[in-house]
Amino acid sequence: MSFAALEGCKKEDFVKSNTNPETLYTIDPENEFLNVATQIHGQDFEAYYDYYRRIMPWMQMNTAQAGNSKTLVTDVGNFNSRYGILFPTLGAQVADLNHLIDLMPEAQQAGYVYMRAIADIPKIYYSFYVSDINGSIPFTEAFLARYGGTTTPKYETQQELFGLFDTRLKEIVTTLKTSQTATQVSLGSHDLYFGGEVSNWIKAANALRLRIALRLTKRDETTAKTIITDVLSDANQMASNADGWVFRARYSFATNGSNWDITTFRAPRPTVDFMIKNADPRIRNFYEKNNYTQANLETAIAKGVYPAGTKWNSQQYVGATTSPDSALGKYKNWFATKTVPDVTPALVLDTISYLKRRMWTPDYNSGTGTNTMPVITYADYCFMRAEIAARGYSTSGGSAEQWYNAGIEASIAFFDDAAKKAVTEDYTAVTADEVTAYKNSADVKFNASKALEQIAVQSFLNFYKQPNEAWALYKRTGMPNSSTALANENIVIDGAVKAIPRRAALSLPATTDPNYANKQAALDAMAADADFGSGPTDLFGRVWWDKK
Amino acid sequence: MKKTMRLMLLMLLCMGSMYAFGQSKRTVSGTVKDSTGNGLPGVSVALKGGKTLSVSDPQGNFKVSVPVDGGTLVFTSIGYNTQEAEIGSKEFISISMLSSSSTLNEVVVTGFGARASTRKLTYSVAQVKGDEVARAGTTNIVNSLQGKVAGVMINQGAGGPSSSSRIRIRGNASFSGNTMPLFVVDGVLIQPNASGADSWGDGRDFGNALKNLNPDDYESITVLKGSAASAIYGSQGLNGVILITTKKGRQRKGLGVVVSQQTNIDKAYKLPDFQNEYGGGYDPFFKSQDAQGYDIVDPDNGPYYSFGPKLDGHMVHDADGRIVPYKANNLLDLFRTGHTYNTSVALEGGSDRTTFRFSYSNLNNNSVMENNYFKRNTFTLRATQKLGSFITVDANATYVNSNTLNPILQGGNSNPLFRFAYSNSRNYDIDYYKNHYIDSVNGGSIGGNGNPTGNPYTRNSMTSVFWNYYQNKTYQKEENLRSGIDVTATITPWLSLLVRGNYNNLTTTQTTQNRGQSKGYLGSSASYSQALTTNSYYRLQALLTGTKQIGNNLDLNLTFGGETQRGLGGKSNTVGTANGLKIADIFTLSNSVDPLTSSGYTTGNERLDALYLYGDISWKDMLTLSFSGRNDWSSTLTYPNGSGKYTYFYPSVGAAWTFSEMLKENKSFGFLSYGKLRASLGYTGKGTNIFTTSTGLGYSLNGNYTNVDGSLIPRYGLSSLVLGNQNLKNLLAREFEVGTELKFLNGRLGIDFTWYKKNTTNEVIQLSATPESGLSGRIINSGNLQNQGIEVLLTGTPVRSKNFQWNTTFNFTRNRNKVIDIDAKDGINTYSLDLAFGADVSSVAAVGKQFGTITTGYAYARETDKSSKNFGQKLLKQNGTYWRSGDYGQGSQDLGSMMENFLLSNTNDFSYKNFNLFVQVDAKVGGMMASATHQYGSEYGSFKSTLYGRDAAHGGVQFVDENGVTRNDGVIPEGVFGANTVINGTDVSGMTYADAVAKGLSKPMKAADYYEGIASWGTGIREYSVFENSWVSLREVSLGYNIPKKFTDKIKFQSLRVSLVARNFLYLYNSAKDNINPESIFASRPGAFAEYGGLPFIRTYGFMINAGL
Repeated sequence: MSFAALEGCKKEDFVKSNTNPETLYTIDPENEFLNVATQIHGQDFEAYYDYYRRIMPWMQMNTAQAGNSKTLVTDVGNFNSRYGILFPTLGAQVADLNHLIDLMPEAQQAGYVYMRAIADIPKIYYSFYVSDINGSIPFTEAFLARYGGTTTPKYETQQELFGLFDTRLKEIVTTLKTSQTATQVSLGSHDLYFGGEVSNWIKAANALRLRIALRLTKRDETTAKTIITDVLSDANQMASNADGWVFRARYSFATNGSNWDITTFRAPRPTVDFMIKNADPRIRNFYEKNNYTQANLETAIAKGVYPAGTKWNSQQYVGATTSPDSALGKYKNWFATKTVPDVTPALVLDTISYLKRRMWTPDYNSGTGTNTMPVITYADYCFMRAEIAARGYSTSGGSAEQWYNAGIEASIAFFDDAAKKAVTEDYTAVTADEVTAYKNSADVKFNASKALEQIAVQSFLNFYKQPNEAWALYKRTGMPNSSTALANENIVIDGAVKAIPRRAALSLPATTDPNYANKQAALDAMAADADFGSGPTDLFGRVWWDKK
Repeated sequence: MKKTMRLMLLMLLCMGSMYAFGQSKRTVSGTVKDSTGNGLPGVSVALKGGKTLSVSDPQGNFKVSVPVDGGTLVFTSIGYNTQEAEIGSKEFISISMLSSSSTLNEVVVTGFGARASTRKLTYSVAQVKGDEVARAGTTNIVNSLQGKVAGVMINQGAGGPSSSSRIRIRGNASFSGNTMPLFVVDGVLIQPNASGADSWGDGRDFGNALKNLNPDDYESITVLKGSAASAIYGSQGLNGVILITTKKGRQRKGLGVVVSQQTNIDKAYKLPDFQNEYGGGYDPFFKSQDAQGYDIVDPDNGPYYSFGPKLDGHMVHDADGRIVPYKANNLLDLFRTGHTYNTSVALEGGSDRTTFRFSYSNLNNNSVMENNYFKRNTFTLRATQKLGSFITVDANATYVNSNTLNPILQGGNSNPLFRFAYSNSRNYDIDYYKNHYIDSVNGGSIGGNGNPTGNPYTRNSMTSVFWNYYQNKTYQKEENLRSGIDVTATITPWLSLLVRGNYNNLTTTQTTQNRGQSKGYLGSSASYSQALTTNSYYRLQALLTGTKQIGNNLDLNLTFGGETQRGLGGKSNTVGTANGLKIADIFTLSNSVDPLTSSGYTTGNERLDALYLYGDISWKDMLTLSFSGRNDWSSTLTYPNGSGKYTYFYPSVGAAWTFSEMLKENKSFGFLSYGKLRASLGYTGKGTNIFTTSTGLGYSLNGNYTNVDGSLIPRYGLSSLVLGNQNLKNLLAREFEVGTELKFLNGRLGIDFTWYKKNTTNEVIQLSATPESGLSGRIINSGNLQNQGIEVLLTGTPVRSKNFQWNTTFNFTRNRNKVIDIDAKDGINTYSLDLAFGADVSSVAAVGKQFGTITTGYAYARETDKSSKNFGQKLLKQNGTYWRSGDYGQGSQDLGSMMENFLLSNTNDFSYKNFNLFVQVDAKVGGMMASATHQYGSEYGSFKSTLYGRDAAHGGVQFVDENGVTRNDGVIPEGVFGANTVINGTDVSGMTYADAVAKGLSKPMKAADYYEGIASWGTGIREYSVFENSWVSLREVSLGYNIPKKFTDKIKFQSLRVSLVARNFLYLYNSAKDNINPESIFASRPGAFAEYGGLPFIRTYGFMINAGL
């Protein structure tokens, strides 16, 4: 009877009920490109662990509030966020951009030649960044499971990867330089780096090739040289800070009340001392002055915290010792604060400077400035060129000294601009005189016999917001170290000089991991090189490029 | 909708034709009821001296053909006194049956609101009377069931009166995020959601739909477990069914009025074990004195750590400059006395053809938290009407509105209990600072953005607790209309038709008003938002039931039916201000600084159709065979492209044998008053969630990206990185159950024992995938999840005399929830259920292990070499802190399961004359929980357990520290140094810390360093704060008194009862470290196992008065 009516209901009604009206069946491919940039830069967990608490203290770019601890070089919990940033999300976004283009009619696809090419640049950059401390990773077969590809991609060795990266980047440059018959769809505002400007991407790709090639110098100088020569034969090179590959974000992107918070990290003494000695104008953009103002000292004297007649030290940039033994020993009292009693608002005098908070989180103390997150800046490019010239890989287009000085100028201008955009609390524009004086200061003035060291020191300073590059520089050149002009301390723990970690502690795949065979094979292949270390988790071991 | 109308018409048409058929004979119809006014099924109706004419149907209706000149009808049923009724010229006869014995006549509500004699049930069922639930006076009906029913596990919600409690029947029959049973209130299906906080514990729990249920209106609550539930309720009954029947009006003279008023007082009576011996600081001595000679509380550590000097009450110079006594705070001062007022008025009346009951209840709860209330108004109408000789209409409508303000932030930095344990020393002056956190000059909070403060006690992290507590407001209003109509037609003496329609609508409005913490009460923390969610569905059902006696010995019940459930769609829209408010304290959308943010989506309209046939056949009221078969059509298994196997069938069979019937003439079995064996086997099919088949398909809008200049770009992207599955099939569960019910000594001792085993296979779940393939997960039909257990209910009446009776029950529940297989073919054997401490600790379903196994990479690393003398020892780093297993290369370690070993409860009901005393004790034994409060509170020395090592009396070791100070707060951590540990040139790998101290290589750790090491965010061992969660609770004590009739008559009351109740009175035992509140799990999700602050221990005292006029 009535149930016949029930049973008679057509399946279409059920299907309709289970079809989500909110689902969009397609989007424009450039939308995925917007996601790529935010995926690369919007990583607070990486900032918290990988940068603030691992690489930066290892590289003496900051120290913990009470000084570095004895576990400085052994604590690696939650390190290597980048792997999980690339796999699966970032790669999937680029793969989907390509897939969306693939779905278009052929005639329409012709308008997306540039977009496809550009999209691969950040993908290669990030894959390189992941491989940089992980060694082998999947690349060719990665990210395709959604489109019928393998669910268990095989790994490529770092040697293979560097080759693949370079070949593809070169191809991209060629593509982008070739004018297309079809009008190219611009990434436009979905390109948060360059607003879709193709010429900038060509320069960025070239700069990235140089960065990869320089990593290669330690392991395979010949190939490196070939690549460098090839890159420099192209006319499209970065020429000013405007060409820099930089992500700029509103203050709300990385906020102080979150894992981005850098407020408790101290300025490192080696860098601070070098900057003071040579009157580096960037010091005010890198670090906060301590609160030993003359007025505060006078208050403290009045309250009996200091004896009458205590002389004010006008140098309010004070760095923290970076070695745990000194922080816990000789310099321990530097970290102690002094509370001035019975004043309102309360006053706690603190000797050591902090990192410039608004440079990292512009919303610090109600700021509304812009955050600057560099990938490859023009200054980076200049220092690469300086090194290339100094090492004699290529001498065309300028001398080491020219590039070195250009790098210093670009770097100072870059951080001046970044501080201005971040609206740092005591922003003061850099003057030309300051720059000139700095370039002529004792440790900075170009000295051909110390060129590589000087380039390394300036690169190191310039990597203020690129801890991974500072780390790579150190692994590649051994500089800065305790005998360079910017004399980093030896990391001494319980009287012994400690080595600095050189790569990620790689996790052992679970036997139940669907991709176990490939992962294990990749680890076994890396372990075949004695430099790889005592096992996958040995962070003092090395990846392929970081040859002993 | 059009189709529905057609269907209704068709059904009405069917009924119309039957009416014509019914008119052709002299028939008498009627209802058989029990003493509570509910229909009695299975009552034989015979003409006096003749044979049985009919048997009453599951609603108690009957219809018989009688001689035109009338006669007498005789009603018989086992366990009831036989009743007779003169027919005369009546067309309708209503009869009440009185029970003859308390042991044999149990009738429970089972299936679709029908009632059945327990003799015939082939499965275990439990019934709780409405007044038992109402007596408890809890705002959440689930909590009142705690300990009352074997096989049912309840965790009270940790978020105040509105929060949802977790209820689990016979374990978790699914991997999904919600394993709560289906609630059925007069035919309206309510599937409660799991609710609660995220893995940081940070969230207000506004609870689920169950908070809109009003226990005052309930006649009875039946708990259907396992296949008993799903055989009839189908897939939605997979996790059991809680079947609620509301009260009906009764046939009576005039209008009955029942008034009840209950006042409950909630007291936060206890905290976890905070220590009150040591105050602020990192070293147990004052380091300096001020000019007046007052000891200065260390301004660097004093406000945070409680490893400082002894709290002895002397006046000190505090870190904020105030001269105050140096003493511990009492966090309980922050909690007020909570009050709940619940007032109900019910009007009822009825004739032999009509009954009605209307009730109104008003519940007003102000919890122990300031600014937290829960208010509820419930209007319920239920009316029945006989139409003509064969149609009965039973209609009900309930309208509820509830209003909740500010449930506590259950965890995280804004939960007071967590925050005071974490990074706030024991001498923090709560009483002072709860009134001194607002910057009265500049506006905003002291320490808020733009209001810098040098006072460490008013730093933003602390004031934000008060701000959330006192200044921010989130309201949630819910309006729920539940209505239904049952039309029953007794077509022939043996055949009846029930047509039922239900409609359920829930509208939720949430309004948030956050006051700005920055200068001028502005800043980005100032916000206003509105969220509106609506959802409604209807259900239409028809049941054709035949009840026939075949010969004298066989009774046959057979029902053929079908239903359709259809979502009517709902919307969820949120609009809010962005980046602050332009004018302070004006909470409107137009006051937004930046363009409004908004989001919205449709909740979809799932559809389920079903056809079913079920029934039973009984022989001599002794042996019953039952069976059911059901076929479902579920929209959730269809794909947008039209494919999908969306229909599935599942059967059940069962048998019940009341073997005591055979023995009743046998004198040697005289001690046995009742004996029954039962067995059943049932299958349950189930679809999946709405839109799951579309997983991984398409794109979505993921909010906006804000450019540097504040302009917005919409962000579109893949809706998920999960790989969909085009061949999903239905879940299938199989449950086998055997049991016995035995009653001895004329029913004074009884036992009900059940053993069951249930396997759930093919559930649609999302597994993680190889991330390198570009996927975050994939959808599969999973393997096999098993629940196996026993339930024992012992009932006894130790004393039964004229004036005094003592009834006692013991409920025992033991369930083993084992994971047999997840995805063997792809080698996946772990499925993540829930997280705690962010993602540091998780509960997982892992093959071969218990559901809810707690696992973490932040466990102790231990020596794993069995040949080593150090095997099993915890491994230390050079500085005496422990290695985390993950950092040491040992990966995640299993710490045990969150699932309890067993539950045991005991209830006692004493009655003496007009007095009645009820006492309930219940216990949970086994199962682990994680406590972030314990972890981070230990780091800062807030808890009693951290007293160990503080001084010689607490086991501290004397040593000379690096400053040459001799101190006695040394701790020698237990364990050996890990591999390759070198101290000052000596390889100490494998050496105990004690040895290293003895050799002068290490110093004892300062107690503060030790606890900082073991419990901090950066280096802590989470295993340290994962512990057994067993408890014994004195759950309820209540005393009632019925005012004697002679007195009530004087004041013209029909009845008057007063009662006192104490709920959650005391934990007689609590295994949690530092007495962490064991009922403080921050979510009701099945895998949730952690607390992050919650509330103090709260007990409730209540006074209730019930009056009948």
